[in-house]
Amino acid sequence: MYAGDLTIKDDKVADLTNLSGTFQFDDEAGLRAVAEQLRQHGLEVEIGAVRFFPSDGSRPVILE
Amino acid sequence: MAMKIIILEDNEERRAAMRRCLDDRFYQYEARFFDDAAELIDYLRANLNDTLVISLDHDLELKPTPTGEMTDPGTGRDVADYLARTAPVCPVVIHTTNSSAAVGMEMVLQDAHWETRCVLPCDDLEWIPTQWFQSIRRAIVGPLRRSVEGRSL
Repeated sequence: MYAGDLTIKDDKVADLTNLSGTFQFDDEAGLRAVAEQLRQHGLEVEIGAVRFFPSDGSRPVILE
Repeated sequence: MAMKIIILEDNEERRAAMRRCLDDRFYQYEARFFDDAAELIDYLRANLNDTLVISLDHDLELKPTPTGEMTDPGTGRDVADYLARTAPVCPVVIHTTNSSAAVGMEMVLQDAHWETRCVLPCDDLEWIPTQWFQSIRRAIVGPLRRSVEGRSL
């Protein structure tokens, strides 16, 4: 289980994040796993789309 | 230290609606509201490099002093002019019904290579969880702006 949000543009995942005020997931590996699941379902995840927002409020990072 | 989301907005109802949106999705960042352009500029002098996004209204109501006099809090254009004299560090969302002022703010910022987005307030507060928050999210999440290391947004 994981929670965040994503944007699909031109049939591709343009961004995929862990941004969820309700669940507040703070696990980089989990977000990478979501990206992999999306790929396995046939979605293209653009390079640089997987963006992790640390719970300490530090600068967000691109995971892949 | 938590990155900052900086907002120039003097209307209490708008502030409350904006805070609700930010607390829901961007809870990890520090949202700072200002109702005075000079106070915001002073804050930015010390904190600009820790800022994730700036959202600027233009027209601000006169403020009463403790002695009952009214003072001019300046405008969002004052902040835009200050930012235009510094290197761009984050996106700027312009949210004002003063469309001619918005054009001027956008031009001065874009001429200084700041990334900008404009939102025209409408329907009381309905524009805040919709157009405004979408612009804030897009400004924070993307487009990509890589650091030297190629890892930071």
